[in-house]
Amino acid sequence: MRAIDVGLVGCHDCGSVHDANQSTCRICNAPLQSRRKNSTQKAWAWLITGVLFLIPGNLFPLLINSILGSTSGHTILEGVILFYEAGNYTVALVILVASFVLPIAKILIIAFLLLSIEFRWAVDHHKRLIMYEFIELVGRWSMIDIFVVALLVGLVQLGPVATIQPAIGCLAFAASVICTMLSAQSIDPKLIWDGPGR
Amino acid sequence: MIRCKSNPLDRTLAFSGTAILLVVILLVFPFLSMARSGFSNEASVPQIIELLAYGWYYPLALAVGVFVLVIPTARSILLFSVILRLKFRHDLVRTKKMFRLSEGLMPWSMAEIFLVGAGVALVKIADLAQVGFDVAFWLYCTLVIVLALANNAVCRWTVWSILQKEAGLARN
Repeated sequence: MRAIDVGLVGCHDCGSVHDANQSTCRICNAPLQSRRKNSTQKAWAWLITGVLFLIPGNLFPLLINSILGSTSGHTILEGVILFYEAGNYTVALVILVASFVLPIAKILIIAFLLLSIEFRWAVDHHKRLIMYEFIELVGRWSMIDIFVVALLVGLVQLGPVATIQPAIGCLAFAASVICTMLSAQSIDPKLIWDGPGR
Repeated sequence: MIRCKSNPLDRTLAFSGTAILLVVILLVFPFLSMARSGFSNEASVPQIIELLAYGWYYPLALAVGVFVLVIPTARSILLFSVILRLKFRHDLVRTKKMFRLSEGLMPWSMAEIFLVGAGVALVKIADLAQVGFDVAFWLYCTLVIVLALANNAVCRWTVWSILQKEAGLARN
């Protein structure tokens, strides 16, 4: 049973239940809304922006290194291949999962959740809630590559011997991660329970 | 079923207080250092962020600084003062706002991700130069553990139920 079925409103922040005519939560003072306004529209907008940023984020180099006069840059996937060829399989796997698999999986899951809400697909409520909590939990781990670039730029400043500078892919990729995090946060999980399902 | 954690207020107070202290100390010490062919360089966390900040990369440096330093610190300060206010029953309306804000900041606090990033960065430059861990690195490791303990100690149920009781008393 949902609060909305019996004329009540549940607070999104602290979970307490109120009469439908209340506008602020008596416990945490948060504004009360049965369902967040325009939740799916906002989520779609952030998601599409995130997808658009992800394309240059993957096509352009994240950083440019100049080592003993020779300059080179590499993208996320080239970085994974470099780690793999150097025999650092664990690091290659961490970067592949955090920077490539996770952002794409996250986008697909958010799109699936939004479509299932809008077209009232009969998909198990609990499974969808687990998916929602999964993207909320792991979404931020994609920032790992951005922090690696920040650390390398800050540390590898050895004049003519070796310097590392950020490149445009890094900006696009960070923007993509932030947009998809905002998209996930815009989804009102209560909408999952409004459609058919078990 | 909701089970209250044992002694949540004191533990949250202790861990968030420790986190604030750790951040203040680690700001001034070098984080990592590297050396090759007579050239060497060491950088603290603020210096790392500062070096990133030029031209188009200002927003990126800002984001990194906010995610790895500002938000974890702000959250610790908020939690610390929320618990103090609960203990001394001080201005509970504002306390509610502060607690909601600290809960909202949670997904944006990325200290542990920064640390894993540091691990990856070290592997990346291990062939390039000699790399050393400095004081702030170990302080940051401790900070990540303390932040996790603080997150674990916060009992939302206890905080909201104290605030609810107080709000009820204030109305009567």
